[in-house]
Order: sequence, then C-alpha cells, then structure tokens
Amino acid sequence: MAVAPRLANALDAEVRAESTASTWQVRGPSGAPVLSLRRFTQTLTLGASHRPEDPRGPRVTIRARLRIDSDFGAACDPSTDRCLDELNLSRAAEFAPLFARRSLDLPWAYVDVESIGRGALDLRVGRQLVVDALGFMLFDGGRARLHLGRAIALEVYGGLETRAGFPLSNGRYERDGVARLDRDGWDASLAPSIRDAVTAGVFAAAVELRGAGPVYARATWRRVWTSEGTVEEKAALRVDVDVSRRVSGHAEAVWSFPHDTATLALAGVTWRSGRGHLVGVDVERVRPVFDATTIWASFWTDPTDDARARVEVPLSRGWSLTVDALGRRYALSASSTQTPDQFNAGGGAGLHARRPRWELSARARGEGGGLGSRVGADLSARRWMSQSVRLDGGVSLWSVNDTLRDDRDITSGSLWVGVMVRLGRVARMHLTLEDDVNRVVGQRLRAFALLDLGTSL
Amino acid sequence: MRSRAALLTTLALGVVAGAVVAQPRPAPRAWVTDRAPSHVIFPTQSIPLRFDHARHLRLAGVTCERCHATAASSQRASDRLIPPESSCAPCHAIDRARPEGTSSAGAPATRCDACHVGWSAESPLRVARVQIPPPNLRFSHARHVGLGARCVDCHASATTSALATRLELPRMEGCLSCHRAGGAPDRCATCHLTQPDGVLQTRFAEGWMNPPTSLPDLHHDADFWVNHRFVAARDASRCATCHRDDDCAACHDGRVRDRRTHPNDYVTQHVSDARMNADRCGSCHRAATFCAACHQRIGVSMTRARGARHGRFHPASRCGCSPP
Repeated sequence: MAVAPRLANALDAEVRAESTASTWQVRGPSGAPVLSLRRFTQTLTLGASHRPEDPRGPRVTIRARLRIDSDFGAACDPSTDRCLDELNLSRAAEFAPLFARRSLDLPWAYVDVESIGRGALDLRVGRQLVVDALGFMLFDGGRARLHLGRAIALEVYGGLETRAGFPLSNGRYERDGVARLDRDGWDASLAPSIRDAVTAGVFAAAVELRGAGPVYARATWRRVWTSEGTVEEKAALRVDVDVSRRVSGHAEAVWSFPHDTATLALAGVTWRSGRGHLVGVDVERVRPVFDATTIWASFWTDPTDDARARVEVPLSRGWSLTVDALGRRYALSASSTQTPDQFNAGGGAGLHARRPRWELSARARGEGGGLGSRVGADLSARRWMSQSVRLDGGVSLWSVNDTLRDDRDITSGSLWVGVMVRLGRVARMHLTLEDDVNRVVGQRLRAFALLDLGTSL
Repeated sequence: MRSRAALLTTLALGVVAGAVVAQPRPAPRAWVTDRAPSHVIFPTQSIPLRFDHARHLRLAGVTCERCHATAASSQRASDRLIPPESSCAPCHAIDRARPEGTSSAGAPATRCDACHVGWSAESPLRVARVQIPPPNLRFSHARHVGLGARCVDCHASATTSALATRLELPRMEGCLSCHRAGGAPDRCATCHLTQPDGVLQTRFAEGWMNPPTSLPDLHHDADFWVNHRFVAARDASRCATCHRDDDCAACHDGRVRDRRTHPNDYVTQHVSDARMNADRCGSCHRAATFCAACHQRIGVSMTRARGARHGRFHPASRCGCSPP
C-alpha cells in the first residue's frame, strides 16, 4: 500500500511484544499436587497515531492488543498416578474456565479520534475499556464525548459487553461471554450458577463537570441487559471538591435499580501540607450486589461499613512514612436479626524510599476481630546496578487466623529474588524466583520469566 | 420507574447546577515553596563557581539581560544560558596570563579563584567544568518574554541569592499560575516531553517523573496504589495523559501477581482475606465467574464440575453443602 510522504511523516507507530512464562504448583494438605501450572502468555500490542500539524486538530490513534495464553500444566495423584479429570485436556471444555491450552483473545482494539471540531467531540470505536465510578466496563461498540464549553462534557457509550468481571484478564479467569454472553460448546448441566445467556447489550450516559472551578463531578447511568431482562442497571455520582489548596473532599454513591439499594456510599476529606504531609479520613459503606438475573443476586447482601484514617509523612528526600488505621463493621444484622454485627479493626504502617538508583519498601499490616485475623509484613527492595541491570528482592511473613477452620491457620514465609536486564534499546528481560513456605503447602517454588520487546517506528 | 427518572434527573441537574455555581478557580497566590525542584525535570547540576547575584543586581546598570544576553531569544529549554567569560570582562579585567589578578583594592576582582572554586595555581589554566544537563522539558524563553513575562516572574529568588542553582529554577506551581483553565495552555504536553503518540514521557535517565505534590489528587504517593481506583473513577482521561491501556493491563490482566495486593502465599491466605475484605475483592473479581470457576475446578463449591473427584483441598464433606 502506498502512503503519501506527508502523511507518513505525521504517523507514529509502536510495536510491543511481551512473553511471560511462569510455573508453580499448589499442593493439598496431604502434599499431593492439586493444581499445577506451566503457563505461557504472549501479548502483541500495536499502536499508531496521526499527529496533526495544527495542535487543535483531530488526532487519530489506533491501538490493539492480542494475547495468547496457554497452560501446559497438569497435576496427578502420586499414590494412584491418576490425573485430575479437570486436567484431562480432552474434557477441558466441560469444566469452568481456567485450564485452556490455547486461549486467544483481544483485550482491546479501537480507533480513537480526539478533538473533532476544534476539540468539541471525541469518538472511539471498537473493543474498549471504560473506567469510572461504576467500575470497569469492556465492550465492543462506540463511545462519544461531547465537550460543551470548557466545563461540561456529555458522554454516551454502548455496544455489546465483552467480559464483565475482570475485564482485562485473559480467558483463563473469565472467558469472553461466560457471564452474560454465548457459551457455545459448554455442557449446559455444568456450573449452573454461571448464566448461559445470550448477547448482553450495554448503554451508558454520563454528564461531567470538570476544569471550571474547584468542583469536579460526574454522574453516570449504565444498563446491561440480555434477553432475560436487565442484568445490571446502576447510577453513580462522584464529586470532588478542592476546598482550598490544602483541603479537598470527595463523595461517591452508586445506586442499583434492580436491587433498589445503594451498593456504595463513601465520603472523605484530605488535608495536605505544603511540605507533603497528608492526613485523610474516609468512611464507606459497601453492599455487594450481583447480576439481577443470576442466583448470585440472593447472596452476600449484608453491607460492610469502613472508617479509615491515614497519615503520610515525608521524612527526607525520597523517604516517606505512611500509617493508617481501619475500623470495620460487618452489618450482618441487616439481613438477619438473629445474627449480631461483627467488627474488625486494624491498621498498617509503611516506609517507602525512592531514589534514582534504588527503591525500598517496608510495610506491616494487621487486621483482626470477629471474622478472623491477618497480620504480616513485607520488605522489598530494588537496586539498579547499572543502566541496564536491576536486582529485586524481598521477604515476607504473614500469619492468618481463620475463625471458621482452625486447620487453616497458617504462618507463611516467603522470599523472592529477581533480576531485570535491559537488552539494547528495545528489549527487557525479567527473571524472578519465589519460595513460599508454610504448613499447608509445605514448600512452593515459583519461577517467572518475562521478555518485553518494544519499539517505536 | 418514576423514582428512577427522578434520581437520574436529579443527578444530571446536580452536575449542571454545579457547573453554573462553580466559579473559575482564582489564580493561586504567589507561590512560595522551600522544596527543591524535581531532579527528574532539572537534573543535578555541578556549578563550581563563586558568584553573588544579589550583589551584582545592586550595581547600577546591571540587569539580568546584561549577562544572560541570549536568554530573551532562547527557543529551547536545552539552550545554554550561562553567561560566558566575555560577559564578565567588561567589568572584570580578566587576564589569563596573570591568574593571580591585577585589580586594585575596591575594583572588580580579576583573580581566577575569585569566581572559579577549586582553582589552583599549579594548573592555572584548568578550572572545574560547569555541568548543567538540559532540563527534561520544552520551554521557550523567547515566547514568554514576547508575552511580557519578566525574568523575576519565574526566577524571583535569584535576585536575592548568591549563586543561582536549581533552587532558583521555576516550580510547576508557579507555571500553573498562568497555565490554567482560561489562561495559557494547560495541557501537560505544553511543557512536558511526549512520546510519539502524545503520551507523556515519564521515564528518564534520572528516574521516573511523577505528578507533583502540588497536584495532590494525582500525586503518586505511597498510598496511591490503594487510592488510584478513585482517581481513575474520577477522570480516567487524566490517567491517559501519562498511561496507556498497557499500564492498566500490567497489573489488571491477571498475568502477573501484584505482591502489594496479594502478598506472600496468597492462594492459601485468600480464604480469610476474602471473608474479611469481600468488598475489596469485588472491585476486580466477579464472584459469579472468577471465584466460582476456580472453586468448581478445585472442588470447593456448592456446585461442582462433573467428574471432579480427586485431589481436593477439602473433602466434599468439609464443604457442608450440596449442589442446589
């Protein structure tokens, strides 16, 4: 294809490939492996953008990512030498997603046109991700954003939802369409809690206030539906106010129409000094809701209330200390007057340093109460040995007290070491070894390798 | 249905009313800070000189432009604007053949070591080099001067300082007093270097460039990995100034486990964490698919896959439940 020289000069392209290999094993209490992974993931990211000569002219960007994920692992009972049925590749499709030898997917692929009409309109078409107070949304369709003056923007988007729960993940966690879309080839008698639904449509509209003063606000409404009816319909309002140069506040609320309840309500205030000190207080109520057309909609309806305070203190150049405290109420009485509320409390402290040649991070956290406890600490560091070599490492110790099952109480130690090497201007290689030791798994060694190749054309 | 329409209308009207009520943010007061500028933006310098700006500016006829003659016409941030020795010569009768100096008492100094720190008579023609790496910015002095900006508008402290160092270079807070909504261009890329696709360049030889503390809601402080969900929820397009989709995928595609979120042997520990922090898990993981799929495969579930009989974490009796 011939390309006019003038156009070619205004085009920038980027190619990036990441190869990730990892291997590890999960063992049961008897020591037998119950899950074994030898996993390889390959991604290819392509990007191209057209820079207009007029900075206020429309900018066109194309971005796409392709991913192939394979798991070559297996696990067998050493006493019988019999492999798990779930790991029988000839029957893999019968089971819930996870063990796909070759899973090819397209996390995103879109064409984006910004600043149409001297900045009045932005358009994006293709598979794309939206993030706002309603969370992630990955869908195939279009999005338009209309700027009304400097202060107000209107946004609408719609199409077919791609993956609902963990949008950027690969098919091993949530295969395209499992939750709400087509499940061709799956045994319908399996996993009845996962809906076998038809294509899910999504439509959303938002109005946004930004850049006009100390207030930012965005109101969003979004509906997802299938042939069975409305799966999800929520409205959210997010408001941020810069009260002064030092004090800011924020509030957010999400309402679920099918459940006729607020699923999220939070508010917070943050104060910052001119020297980088920070004090923040947040309160939050979360009430999880699930797709209205699934059996899960009847589960886990008790809300959780959090109150959290945090302080950040810059100690010296590059060093900072963070401390936070958390109080949590599990409002179990909301669904049953027979069940008293449960309470947990906890907090943590972290020490961070970031310098041009090294980074250090130490943190300790603890939380405990009616629903058990977790206490632990991590120490990690990375050091650039040269412009092209960096060493990583860390140790970790955590203790878990499970109030429901004493036999799951563990104290677990972990250490990892890694090295990152830049190979020329376009390549980066990262190797990591991790060793976990605790009573449940015994000893587990993980190995992880990443090769990143990228260049701009 | 009526209540739904009322709620949505209220939300929309609230946002629009906010736009009407919200007044443009007043220009920040004169910015004063004792923080040094970023080493990533203005890399570490070495200026082995002895000089007193304040003293020189008190002299009659001495202005910034007299010594920094090329500053007003400079188009790029990388231009070298330190005065050459010839700028000093009109007042200081420098004679390299006589490094000990020739001036009489009260006259401007002419000895080499009057200005050059570390000068030694043993090697009189060798002085320590001034090293001022170019800043990682785009900036045109000429354009700002053309718009009426004075030197002291950005370099106020230089007039009262002795040797001008990185501390006399502008902070972004000062730039934002003009570069703001309704004023000078306020896009980050107006001043910061960009990659070919327009995304800001954030990785330099001197380190990573992070949003400054003067942009508190964007500042990547130690708490940011917890709070970035709120920043992204507020206005993800601001994240896109520096980050591409790949940066989200680096952690959120499940390819690599983030130890800050899932430390240690998290597969074993997630049991109690999921019970205590179910709302946190739900911000990324959907129970109906992510949790159920793995539990069905392992056999820890109210619904189990057909043929799943061996190698359980928990015997079926421990689950205490049966398929619905």
